[in-house]
Amino acid sequence: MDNGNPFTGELLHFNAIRMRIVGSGNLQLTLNSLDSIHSSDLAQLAMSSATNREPTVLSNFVDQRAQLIGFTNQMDEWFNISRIIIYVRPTFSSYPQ
Amino acid sequence: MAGTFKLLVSTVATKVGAGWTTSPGGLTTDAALANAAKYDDTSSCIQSGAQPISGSLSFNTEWYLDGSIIPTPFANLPAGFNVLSAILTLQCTLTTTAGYSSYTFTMFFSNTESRDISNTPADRTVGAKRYYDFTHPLPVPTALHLNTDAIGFSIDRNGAGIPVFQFIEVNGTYETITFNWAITNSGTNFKVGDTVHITANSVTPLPPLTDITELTLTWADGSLTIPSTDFLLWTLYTLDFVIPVGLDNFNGDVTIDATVVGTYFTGTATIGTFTIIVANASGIYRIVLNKTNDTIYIDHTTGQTTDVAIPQPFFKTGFIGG
Repeated sequence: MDNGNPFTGELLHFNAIRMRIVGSGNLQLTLNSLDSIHSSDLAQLAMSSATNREPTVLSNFVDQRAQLIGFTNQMDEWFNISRIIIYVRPTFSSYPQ
Repeated sequence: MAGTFKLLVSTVATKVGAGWTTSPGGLTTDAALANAAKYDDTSSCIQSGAQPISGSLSFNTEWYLDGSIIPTPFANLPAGFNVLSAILTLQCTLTTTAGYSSYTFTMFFSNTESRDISNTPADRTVGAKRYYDFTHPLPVPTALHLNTDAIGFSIDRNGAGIPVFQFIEVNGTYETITFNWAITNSGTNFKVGDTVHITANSVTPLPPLTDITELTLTWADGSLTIPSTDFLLWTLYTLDFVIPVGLDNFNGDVTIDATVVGTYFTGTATIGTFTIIVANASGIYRIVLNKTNDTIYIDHTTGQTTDVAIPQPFFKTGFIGG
């Protein structure tokens, strides 16, 4: 990436998410592209109220930009996230002109 | 499903005129006359006495389905029972007289119908035991009609002979109609003011929803009637109505019964049940620390509550990328 340019348009491979998370139930994770044109549902993450692990969830999503969304859908599920690491690698320099 | 039915004499409904007795036996009781009018080939109803004379006998009947020799009570006829055809059969012998034209006898399906809906056979052969069949003019009588009204015969004569009536009965065919009226949005959590949709399926023949004259809503501690004038939409296949204000303070199951007056079915039919979860939809929102569900007050008068999931709590990051 060109650090001098805030947006150079590379296609990025989002390959993993790591979180510091506690909670109860299962966290549903999704990666979304701009305007939700593309999306990818990741494996759900089983949570516990205390843990020594920062779990990693693999992903396979390629786009210029992506947004991570997490949610629960059952009663009495909850989560508390203190850190999110998203692993990204540039794959292509840009879309064709 | 389809099949055949037979209506056989059970009891005397009406006896008009003098001189009705059985042969053999000469009995005059109603029970004896009813027995004599059954198909047994051993006894008959006769009318004897001074001429000219006239009179009639009509009989209540019992249902026999599909060749069975055991009668089926009317209330136990198969669901959706629908008469397709009905033929009244009378067997009689007119004894020798000066001329058969002096006999006039008719056979009828119903005491309550006009005698125009009856049959006076043109061929009244004297001396021979004969069957006379009479098909009811269209429309075919309904099962209710056949069950309620009495079949019978009447006679006028001037001659010296004695008419002998061996038996009278009705034979016919039937089908069982299956149909379905259902609430199409029954999964909705209703509240007062919501619209309930009822539809009829496409089975033919179809008792249309326009046969419904009113709906009755019944719940745990009350009921109310919705007349057809209050239906929001009312066609052959669709009926919509709005849940009325009388259910303001109720939550739970509500049963819909339809009162029907129609060709295929007359009576009351249960259409289904819908559920009111929240009697009063308005309320107060209170934020409680560490609460992991929503609590809904489903009835403010009793303080009854129910816990439900918070509608999809979520987080989302900003867009990441270079």
